[in-house]
Amino acid sequence: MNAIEFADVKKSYGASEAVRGVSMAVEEGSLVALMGASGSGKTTMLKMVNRLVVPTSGKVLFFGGDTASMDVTALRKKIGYVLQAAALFPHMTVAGNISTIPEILGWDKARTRSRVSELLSLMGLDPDEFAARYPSQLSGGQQQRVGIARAMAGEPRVLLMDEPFGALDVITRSRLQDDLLRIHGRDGTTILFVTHDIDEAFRLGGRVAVMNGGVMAQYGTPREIVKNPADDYVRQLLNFLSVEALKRAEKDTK
Amino acid sequence: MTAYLLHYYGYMLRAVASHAEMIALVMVFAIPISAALGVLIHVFRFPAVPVITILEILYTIPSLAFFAILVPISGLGVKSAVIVLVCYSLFFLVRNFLAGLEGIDPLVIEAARAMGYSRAGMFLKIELPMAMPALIAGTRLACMASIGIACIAYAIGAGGIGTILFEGMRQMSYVKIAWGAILVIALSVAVNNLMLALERYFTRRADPGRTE
Ligand SMILES: Nc1ncnc2c1ncn2[C@@H]1O[C@H](COP(=O)(O)OP(=O)(O)OP(=O)(O)O)[C@@H](O)[C@H]1O
Ligand SMILES: [Mg+2]
Repeated sequence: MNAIEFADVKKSYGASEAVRGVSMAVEEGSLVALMGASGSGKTTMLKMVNRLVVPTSGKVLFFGGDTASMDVTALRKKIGYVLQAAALFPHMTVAGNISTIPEILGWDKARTRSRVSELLSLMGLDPDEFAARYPSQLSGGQQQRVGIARAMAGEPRVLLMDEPFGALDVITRSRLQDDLLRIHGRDGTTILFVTHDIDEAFRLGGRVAVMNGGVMAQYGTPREIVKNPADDYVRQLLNFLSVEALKRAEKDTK
Repeated sequence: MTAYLLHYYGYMLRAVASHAEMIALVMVFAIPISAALGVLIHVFRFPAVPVITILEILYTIPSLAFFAILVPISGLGVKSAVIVLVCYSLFFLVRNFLAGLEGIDPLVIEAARAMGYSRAGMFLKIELPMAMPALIAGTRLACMASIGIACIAYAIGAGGIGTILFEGMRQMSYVKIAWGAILVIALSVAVNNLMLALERYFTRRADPGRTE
């Protein structure tokens, strides 16, 4: 079953075309990394899944159903979304921010509270220290981690993540990458993960989608991409892949 | 000066009280009406331009003329004065409320939308608390303007501190004029400080983590 399917999706803003006819499927339970240069249409692709952006033409399917004909709030409740910026609610505590979706979903207090602690610990933030703080009392990286926790709080079937680790130091980033893979392995949440970073894309993604100027240059497993780069752009990109990531991709069987 | 105070303090106090009462009455009407207009425009996407234009036009009518227009309709007295002051106040309130709502970080709004908030839920839980400081700032401006203009409302028999000022002018009594002016200023300063305290409170609530 495909959790998400783009069928010849286009999105233009006035005269400029951000996405020019992309088709791709994200299988249920998979982790797909979406990468490409700045302005290549990655954020636009993500937002078409939860209908923050409505495609100009083409269809986006969510578990087989056309998102255009779904109740938009019902659709969004099933999808966690981590923005490129943390965009926390400044008037709510860290715990309050993470509780928003459970509250919308009508969870009871005890369940919400334990979920908040669980997620904070998972993100490497001590609940006793951080739960009662307000967003402006956190560093940028801490805010970003709370944003991730907030998106995961409602146990969504699908998680959309827009460069979630961009603002983090390498050690935290690498730890969170491991954690994300672990959570993904444990819960089987379908994840569509946007990143600039080819190493990150290859490390996380069971499949990697490479966008270039609004079109899909290549979509395949890291191994397929390394063995058979589709075009010059992908070849050029592979020059920046670290040696370790390249080795991992070559013998990859994930 | 002091002789007048000692002799007429009861009279002065009543003038201030009726002035303050008038302003309070104005706010009792103006705040809910402006909140409703704000919600109509921001939540229900009613076009803002005609509403703002009408409020702007009302605001440009000189107060004395506005009072005069209303006398044949709503008569002499507090009623006409309150109607005029409500019209003026709406200008500040609606404009500030909308500015507050529109000033919220669009990414925060996007995050909230992506969560699947209902429109009402998003307004009450996210937008309103974040726009409160601007709404209170608008209320403060409206109060300040109303306190000043309400002095002229004596001309249509609405009472208030204007009574002392106008009597002073008629009798060429500088003592009365001076006391009238002092009372208006004192009331303005008191209300201003009260509203500033409220504004600080709601600003804090909108972002408690920020230390100023
Ligand atoms: N609301 C908008 N109005 C007009 N143009 C837009 C809008 N949003 C995006 N675009 C344009 O669409 C193109 C794709 O934008 P998008 O945000 O999807 O890029 P991206 O791949 O996420 O880039 P980045 O890596 O910098 O975040 C860009 O050229 C951008 O300028
Ligand atoms: Mg982007």
